[in-house]
Amino acid sequence: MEFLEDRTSQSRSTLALKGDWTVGNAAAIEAAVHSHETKPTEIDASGLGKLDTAGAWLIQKYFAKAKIENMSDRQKALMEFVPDDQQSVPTAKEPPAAVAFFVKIGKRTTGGITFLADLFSFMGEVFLRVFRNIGNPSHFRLAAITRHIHETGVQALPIIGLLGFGISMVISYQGATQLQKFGADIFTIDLTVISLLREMAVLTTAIMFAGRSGSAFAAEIGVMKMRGEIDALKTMGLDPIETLVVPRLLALLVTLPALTFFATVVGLVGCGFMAVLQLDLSVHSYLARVHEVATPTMFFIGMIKAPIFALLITAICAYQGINAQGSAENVGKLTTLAVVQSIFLVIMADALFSIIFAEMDL
Amino acid sequence: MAAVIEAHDIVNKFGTQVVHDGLDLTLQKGEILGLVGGSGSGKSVLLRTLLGLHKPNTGSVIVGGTDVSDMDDAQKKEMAKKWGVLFQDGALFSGFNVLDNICLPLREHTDLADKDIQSLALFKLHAVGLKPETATKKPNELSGGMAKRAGIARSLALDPEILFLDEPTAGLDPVAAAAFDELILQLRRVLELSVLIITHDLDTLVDVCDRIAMIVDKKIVTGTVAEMMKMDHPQIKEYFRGSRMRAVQREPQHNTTGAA
Repeated sequence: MEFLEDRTSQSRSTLALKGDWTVGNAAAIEAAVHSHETKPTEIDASGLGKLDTAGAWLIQKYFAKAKIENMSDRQKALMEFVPDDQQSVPTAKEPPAAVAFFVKIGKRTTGGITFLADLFSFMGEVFLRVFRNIGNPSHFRLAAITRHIHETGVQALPIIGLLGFGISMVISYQGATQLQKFGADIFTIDLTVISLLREMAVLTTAIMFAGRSGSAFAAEIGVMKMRGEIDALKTMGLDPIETLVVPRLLALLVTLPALTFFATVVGLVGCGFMAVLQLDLSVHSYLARVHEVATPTMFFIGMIKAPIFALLITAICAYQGINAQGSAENVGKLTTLAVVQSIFLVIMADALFSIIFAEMDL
Repeated sequence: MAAVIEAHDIVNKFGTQVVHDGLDLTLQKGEILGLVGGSGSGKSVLLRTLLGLHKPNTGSVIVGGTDVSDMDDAQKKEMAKKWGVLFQDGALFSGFNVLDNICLPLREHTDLADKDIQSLALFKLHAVGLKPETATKKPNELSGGMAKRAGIARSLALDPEILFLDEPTAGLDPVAAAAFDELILQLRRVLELSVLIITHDLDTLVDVCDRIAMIVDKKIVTGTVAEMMKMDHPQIKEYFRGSRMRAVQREPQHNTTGAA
């Protein structure tokens, strides 16, 4: 399709516009204009078909200085609609890359420190609510607590059981294949039982917990914050931390240790399964070996971590939820952040526990 | 005047609840039609039906002479270029800034260079009365009125023939709402748009709309504001002769621009 026709005579240079100058043809028109080198002083619009804002914008862009003739009234109105000067996107001045790099490091560092400080002060606020109400337990919302215990505990039993069973089978299997080379098969049970009781049961449960319940906490509270429900609570004289965070914390303090215990028991069954299948032990001799290896200290070293992990997960996820900002798209981001941070801190805390217990010779 | 979009004999049911029962609606070229009706009368469902987002139980929607249900994918894509929609809260893509929101349909449907697309998008921003500084803002940084203007700029990106506005002045202060009404009239004048407005704003109905279509008893009743006020149906009477309507009518501001 032709969009331009050169009608330059000796006295004046004229371009005639033809065809539809619309947004669909804009790219072709651009090409046509570029193929006409001459700068016309006059534009003849008598042959112009359809004209829309994109077409008017193109005419303004290339022929602003030319005299335009034979335009209909509507086309003229459209031309007046186009601003005279082409605007550009305002760009913010950015520092050079090297500076920006250090600025980023600095911001991340201070951001991390502020986050930790904020997190601890948030935990303090939560504890304050717990201790304030410890004298009158009727202030704890029993209905909410039971609902959270049901959602985060009872409903998580199948997945946690499966996980505990799977993990202990993997450890037993890997241990057995290595230890069989030395004829030390029986130590597979030592390996699995010790690692299960001390570390694996509580750690896998906590990680699954952060992904399953922590993310739900962050998203639930975050959505409430963005929809103004938290402000609504405040105006009714209800404390958001007391109504939203404390019941979740108390529920998690019950369910995470309980689930850890459950994962341990199922894990021992899984280990026994492997012992019978892989090591040709009888059930009786497997149980005798477990009895020999497992000590109460070992069991409690695992269990004591559970409430601490529960506290970390609830605190971080609730903190992220309550500090949610912006629009709905941020719910996804803050949930991801909450889960990543809580898993990270759980593993850090676990490392700290290992050092402490090692120093204590436990 | 020719019809740009027609709905014939539309029936919409949700379970046993009948929302539209044999409804007819026509939007003429160049007119501004106000769609009104009480809450739950099915305005939004009708809009979704016209846009092809909701398939009616029976009946047909005809755009540019072709039944929408007979169109293939290529035709539907062509049709999408013919109309622009301003959703109730703007429905700006939250991951993009304002400029990229307006650029998106242009990038998708034209072969222009990116520099030109941005410049064209800035022109659209200017046309709806927003400053160039708005271009780099994210939707959540905009006020309600600005978000709606940005939404209109995006719906105008491809120079549509039909503009659908879902409650464009809801939640705006009277000054911003009046400016928005003026913007709609100006856009219609310059771009020869046909506009369908869903609104509860009586000022918009009186000042901007050429005709009113009201959903009454699951069907459409149309007429100018003056005609609607003379009708005897109790629901129409309640709507157009209520105290709020009388307050708007007391200071007559007649729509002088008329249909193009």
